[in-house]
Amino acid sequence: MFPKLRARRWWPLVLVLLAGLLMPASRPVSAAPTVVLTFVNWASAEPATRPAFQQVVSNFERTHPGVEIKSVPVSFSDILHQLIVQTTAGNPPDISEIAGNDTVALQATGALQSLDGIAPRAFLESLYPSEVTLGRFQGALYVIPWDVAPLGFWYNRTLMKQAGLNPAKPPATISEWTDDMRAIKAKDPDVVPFGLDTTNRSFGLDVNWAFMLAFGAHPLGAHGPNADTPQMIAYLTWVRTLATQGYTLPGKLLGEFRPLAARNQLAFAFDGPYLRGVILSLNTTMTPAQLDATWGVTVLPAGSDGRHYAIPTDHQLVMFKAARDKAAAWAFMQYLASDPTAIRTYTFNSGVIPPLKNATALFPTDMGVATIQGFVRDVIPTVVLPAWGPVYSKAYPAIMTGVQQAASGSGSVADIARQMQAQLQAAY
Amino acid sequence: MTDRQARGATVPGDRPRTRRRFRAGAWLDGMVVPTVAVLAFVVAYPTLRSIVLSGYNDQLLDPTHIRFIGAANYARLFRDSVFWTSVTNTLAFTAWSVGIGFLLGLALAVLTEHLPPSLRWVRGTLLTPWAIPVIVVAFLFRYMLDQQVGIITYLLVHLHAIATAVPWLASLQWAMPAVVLANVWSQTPFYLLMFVAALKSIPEEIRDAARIDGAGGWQEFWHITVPFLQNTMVVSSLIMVINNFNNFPLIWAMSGGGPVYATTTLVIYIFQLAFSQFDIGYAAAVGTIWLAVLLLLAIAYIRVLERRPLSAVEEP
Repeated sequence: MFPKLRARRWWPLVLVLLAGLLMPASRPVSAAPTVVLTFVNWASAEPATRPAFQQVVSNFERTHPGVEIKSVPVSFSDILHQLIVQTTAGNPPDISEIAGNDTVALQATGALQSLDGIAPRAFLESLYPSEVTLGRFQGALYVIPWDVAPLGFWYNRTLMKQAGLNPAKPPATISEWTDDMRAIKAKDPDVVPFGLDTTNRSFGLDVNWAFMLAFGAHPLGAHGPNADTPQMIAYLTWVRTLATQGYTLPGKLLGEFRPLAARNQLAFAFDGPYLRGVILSLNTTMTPAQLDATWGVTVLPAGSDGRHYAIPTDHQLVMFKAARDKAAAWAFMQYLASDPTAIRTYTFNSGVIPPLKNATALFPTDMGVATIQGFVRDVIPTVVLPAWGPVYSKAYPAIMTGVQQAASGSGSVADIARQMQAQLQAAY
Repeated sequence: MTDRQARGATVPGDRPRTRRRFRAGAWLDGMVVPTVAVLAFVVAYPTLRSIVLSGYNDQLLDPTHIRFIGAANYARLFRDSVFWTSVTNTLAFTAWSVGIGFLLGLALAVLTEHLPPSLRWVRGTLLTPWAIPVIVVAFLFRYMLDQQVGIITYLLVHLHAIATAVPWLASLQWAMPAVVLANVWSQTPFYLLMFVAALKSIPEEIRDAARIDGAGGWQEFWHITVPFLQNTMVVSSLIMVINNFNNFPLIWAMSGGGPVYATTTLVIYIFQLAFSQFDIGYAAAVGTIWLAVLLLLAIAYIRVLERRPLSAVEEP
């Protein structure tokens, strides 16, 4: 009686185990083996871009039977350390989205696959030459652009008009701009005049780099650190003015100012073309036409040398040496960068610019959008590269803690510049 | 017992039982082998590997120049002002968090000790923060302290406690108190829980005797409650000292260690070195020092626990 009872008690478990064992065998057998490509990206991590990205992946999988994209969402700020950890652990993805100094840092690890011999010449010739140059290291191509996205100067016409400023005449110099911020703050103290990223991260320095150049400061000189200069002191003094006068909110990520932009509480932004897509996704009552009437894009106000500067934050694509099916990986990379359906579905929906030379001819309506035209016509010609590289990776904490000290502290900015210089010595 | 047995000699009839006992003992001892193996793999190996790494110049962004540099990383610690700032911050964060949490927990435990049944829910409500994940607490306080939309800033401005909104987490002066505030809110229920349990172990006769002898509330607290809670106080404080030395998610999510290095504790600094600057060798050196400090604290905790077990109630 007793053994019989025990057997009865066990047989459902045995059945479950048997079912589990048989499950894989009962799957439909596909005609071709499926290639699974792991793609680490922040496009699927951000609510503004996730739906369009998922649509692009579905389209690709439909048109490329036998290839499955396994998307791994990682936030923009965490992507480099995620990739370095994966690579060091011997488990890199096949493809990744990357940008800025992170690209240079990742390439230095030796984990990336050279795309020479993989990327067809016709494809490379279809891209902006400057974008192809960004992807070359020691003469070899490692990176292709997904989209073109420099940081440009966004100005809110509505808030300028409310403050008695001419909305058709954005500030042309840093001095004019500071006066405009004063007027805007005086008119409505709840409005944040400008969203300056002062976070201690590599991207934080990218944002500040253009302003430093406008003040004539070059903290990472070719022959050593160059932070203890009157130009850097002038820049830090300006940052302190922004913080103490309430023209910016210290300690915020660039992305934390975007909801303010969507709520019409931000007057000026130094942001990429993707700000358009973010505003439209956050403020669902705003139409694209209303956005174009509210926001304009132009060059960053000029500083002491009269020049305008912009910084590239182009979203790029890289393939890892460990990619098992390089042909399939390349097919997906090329699809993201150049397929018309992918560009219409994702690139323009995200507010960014495709990297194709003939984009204006191919997509006249999408490229005709006012903010995109502002980037293409005004901002892209002013793009300069920060001093990206191994030194930049080591130096950004010293520079950005100096910027934070200027924004949050009360000590002398000359002392901050001196400390910055001393800390930078270690990075060289 | 026979003489032979008393002298330790083997009695033939005893032999099988001794062997069985021996076999059973060895078998039981063997049961810990899997645990020891797993611990060796997940604790001992990474610890030893980390100590070995601390002797190398190992920069993940420059994998072609990895080389043994002996104690150079440890020598660098003495010149590294950020390391010393992070040591000071760790001590300050731990001391303030444990000190304030301890006093609040004790006060709440004593105040809620004799609540009538209809108000017992108060104690339950006070314990709620303990159940909230630390990362949620961090984001909760980050938003409440926001300069633009934070409820705390809003209330303080409207109550005229402050003239203008303060960027609490971006202020060199206020970032650490802000982080400690969130931490205390999260951890006070732990002390409350420990002290409530300990208070229940005080014999009512002793309290009655003290009252009959004319002891007032303060005297009763000082001469009866505190001595009875001593074990709990020491053990719970040590647990929380170790816990706060390791507190990463709250600080990272609230301030990222900034502004400048105002909230950078040792564990945050190790993360920044390893995963922002990819200086694995130096991060391992800082980690080894941190491990040594934690080991000392853990040894102190174990010693205290051996001398003063929580369950032991010593009459004062």
